[in-house]
Amino acid sequence: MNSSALFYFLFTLLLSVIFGGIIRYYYNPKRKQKIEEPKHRMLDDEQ
Amino acid sequence: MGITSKPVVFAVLSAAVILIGSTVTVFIPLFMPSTQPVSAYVKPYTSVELEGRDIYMREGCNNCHTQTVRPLRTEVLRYGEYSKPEEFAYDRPFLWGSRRTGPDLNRIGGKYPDSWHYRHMQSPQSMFEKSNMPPYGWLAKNRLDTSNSYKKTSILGYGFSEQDVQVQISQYRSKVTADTYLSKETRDLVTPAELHHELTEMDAIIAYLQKLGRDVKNLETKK
Amino acid sequence: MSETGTEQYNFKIVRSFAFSALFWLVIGLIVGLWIAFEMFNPALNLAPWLSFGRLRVVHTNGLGLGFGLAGIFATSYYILQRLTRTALPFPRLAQAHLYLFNTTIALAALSLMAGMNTTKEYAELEWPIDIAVVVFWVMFAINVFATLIKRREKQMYISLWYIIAMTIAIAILYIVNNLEIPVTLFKSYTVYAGANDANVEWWYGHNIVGFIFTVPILAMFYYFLPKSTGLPIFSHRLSIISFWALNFAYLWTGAHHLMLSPLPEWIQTVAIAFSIFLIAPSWGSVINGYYTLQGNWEQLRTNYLVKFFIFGITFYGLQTLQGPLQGLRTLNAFFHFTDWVVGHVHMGTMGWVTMIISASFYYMIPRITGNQLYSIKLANTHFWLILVGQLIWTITMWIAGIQQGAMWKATNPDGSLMYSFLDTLTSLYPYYRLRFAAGVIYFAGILIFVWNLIMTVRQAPQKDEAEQPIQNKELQSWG
Ligand code: HEC
Ligand code: HEM
Ligand code: HEM
Repeated sequence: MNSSALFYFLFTLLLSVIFGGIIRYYYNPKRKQKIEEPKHRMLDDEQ
Repeated sequence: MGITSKPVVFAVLSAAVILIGSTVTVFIPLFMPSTQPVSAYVKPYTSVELEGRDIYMREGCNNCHTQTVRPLRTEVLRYGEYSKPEEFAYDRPFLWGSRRTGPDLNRIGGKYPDSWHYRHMQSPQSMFEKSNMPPYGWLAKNRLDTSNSYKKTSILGYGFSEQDVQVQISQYRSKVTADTYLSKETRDLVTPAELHHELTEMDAIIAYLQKLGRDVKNLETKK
Repeated sequence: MSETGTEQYNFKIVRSFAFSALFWLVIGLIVGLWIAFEMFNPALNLAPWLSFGRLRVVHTNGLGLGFGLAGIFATSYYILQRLTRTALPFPRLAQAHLYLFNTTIALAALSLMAGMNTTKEYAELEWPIDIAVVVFWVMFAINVFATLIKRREKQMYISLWYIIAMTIAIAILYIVNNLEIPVTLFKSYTVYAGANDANVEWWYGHNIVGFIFTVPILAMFYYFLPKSTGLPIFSHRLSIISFWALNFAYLWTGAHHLMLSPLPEWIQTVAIAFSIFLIAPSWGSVINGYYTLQGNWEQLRTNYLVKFFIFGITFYGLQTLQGPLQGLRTLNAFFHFTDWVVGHVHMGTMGWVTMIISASFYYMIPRITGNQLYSIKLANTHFWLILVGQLIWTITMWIAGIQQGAMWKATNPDGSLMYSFLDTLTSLYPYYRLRFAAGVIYFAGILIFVWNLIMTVRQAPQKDEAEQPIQNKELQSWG
């Protein structure tokens, strides 16, 4: 592996880890209720 | 809950996220000489050519014509040597285009004599019945406005003195109005009589077309 | 206004922007038909200002900046006030925004016809008009952020994120790409040269499409689909992931417009990679849309608005698959510069963008005028005409693009080119004629749309015009 291929690989790895981290954070069942709340509230903004 | 309840933080974070890709792929390359290399073999446009280029932009020729030959076999066969980055060092803006309704023009310089262009610009359909290129006869009826020519070249940093610009303009005028000019007959045909001895927008745009791709030969022999 | 406690939503501005959008839509489409005709018959190049080179940019700017932005402003002012349960803080500023906007677009169209054209795609306007654009953008942004800061709903719903991202991104893109040095009032030169100019321009060009024709349209989709069906969006957290991934990845991909050009190869390669990644967040929104209707698909028949949303998001889904594919080097070598790309563009604009804006207007206009929609039957006719028109339009162009690419490439056994440039062009004229006819069908649908909305507001109002008081219940803080 030459240095630029290594660089691309590490960069991709880094982005994947961040991406995975964000998904894990938001898909944690503990937070589900709170995170999903606004989608119900927006439905009754008319009254 | 987190950033979705903090609009200002949210906005700052969005800006940061947006700026990462922009910085890596656009802002940093701006400061890397390798993105737009320069070569002594590629010369800036003369002020007449530059005026022609501005008319090319004004008429939106770039909406039908590209100016970049890709390194593909059939494309090189059709148009000539593929485009090199050095060729565009003086192009502000670039005119590569995104749509090829008409042929690529990056190698048009020297392909035809001036007389061909005078006739073609006046009426593409008279040469190719089915062409959809608009006729541009009015360009020959407009006197070329050179009042900003020096200002333009100095903004672009072409390094011409005011006198250089005057000389370029009067030299080109002498060339196309001389009796010895090889395309004189066609030029006189498309140009109204009162402008026979002056520079027109048509003269300038043709000067520009004839410059396109001229330097690449020198560039190639050097390589 | 706010002291008495009878704060009013400002919907007058929504209505004005909505009708501005319709006006620019009709103008932009007439110009579109005009240039579509010129492409198979140059006889319509009647005068310099009607020549193809000058008019094509009137079409793209009139629809992107005129119709697109006005539609975005109309829906953003509506969504913002609703989702924050807050009246617009600076209604007079919004009114000034409206006037400046319409003046600017009118001047833009005139100046482009006069040949004042910087030639940078979607940034063709000369510097004085650029300044006007920046000014009205700032006016808009002030109201956006002031509303958000004053808001009475703690959490911001998805649509608001997209509006924030658009407000910021367009400001950055527009200013950076339009840095130019004036020569006269009507002429300037960009500060970037050659390959750098190309790189800046397509970073801008791709993302202006992204942040006008994708991001704010998603804001509309995420708001009006649930509102008009009464169904909550399928997954809020999926939309969070999609949102950040989309905003992050979009900005890396501009160079897929410069494939095989003299731009350094690594920038092109990075752009290809991120283009492929973009399928994920794009389809995040598509899936979110489809699953919202889970178990309620009969609404596709019973609720006339749902058709617009579901077909719209489907075209978005197709668009975001086609885009990354045509960005691949080998496919792009074939399709670049051809009519195929024109087909891609119009599936997005005539399918996705107009479908969603149409449905959003159908939802908003009756609510803010207190009238019933003039005719649901006409709305259905509108839908079918723009659907059929768009499909014929785009499919024709894809076929034309394949033929064009193949003929450019075709060689004889001895290695010489098989077709002259003109052979290829003239073989495409039948497609261009069909495209024109399809455009007429689509345009008829749009005229019905405009008529329907005009008749809706012209009926005697059932409630007192526009302003509705904000209800204070459920405003307790929580979360
Ligand atoms: C509607 C699209 C369109 C526009 C706008 C247009 N052209 Fe053309 N152009 C064509 C087509 C098609 C051809 C090929 C047929 C022909 O030569 O007429 C062509 C051919 C040419 C050629 C000859 C190329 C060759 O290699 O034979 C030149 C030079 C040219 N155009 C210059 C211009 C200039 C300069 C402008 C702007 C003032 C312009 N064109 C505007 C479509 C267009
Ligand atoms: C009646 C419907 C329409 C017709 C007949 C039409 C016609 C055209 C034509 C002829 C072109 C030039 C294609 C070329 O150079 O080969 C074009 C380009 C374009 N149109 Fe349309 N158009 C229509 C609708 C729309 C709509 C609704 C939008 C946007 C909301 C739009 C946005 C654009 C854009 C952005 C381009 C530039 C594409 C590119 O550079 O690749 N068009 N249109
Ligand atoms: C994941 C999403 C997308 C990707 C990766 C993508 C990719 C591309 C690529 C590679 C091109 C250039 C083709 C060429 O010139 O060879 C292109 C052009 C274009 N796309 Fe997309 N696309 C996407 C979504 C969209 C959407 C949703 C729209 C909305 C209308 C859109 C509008 C356009 C326009 C207007 C152009 C023409 C630009 C021009 O040349 O003037 N794209 N796209």
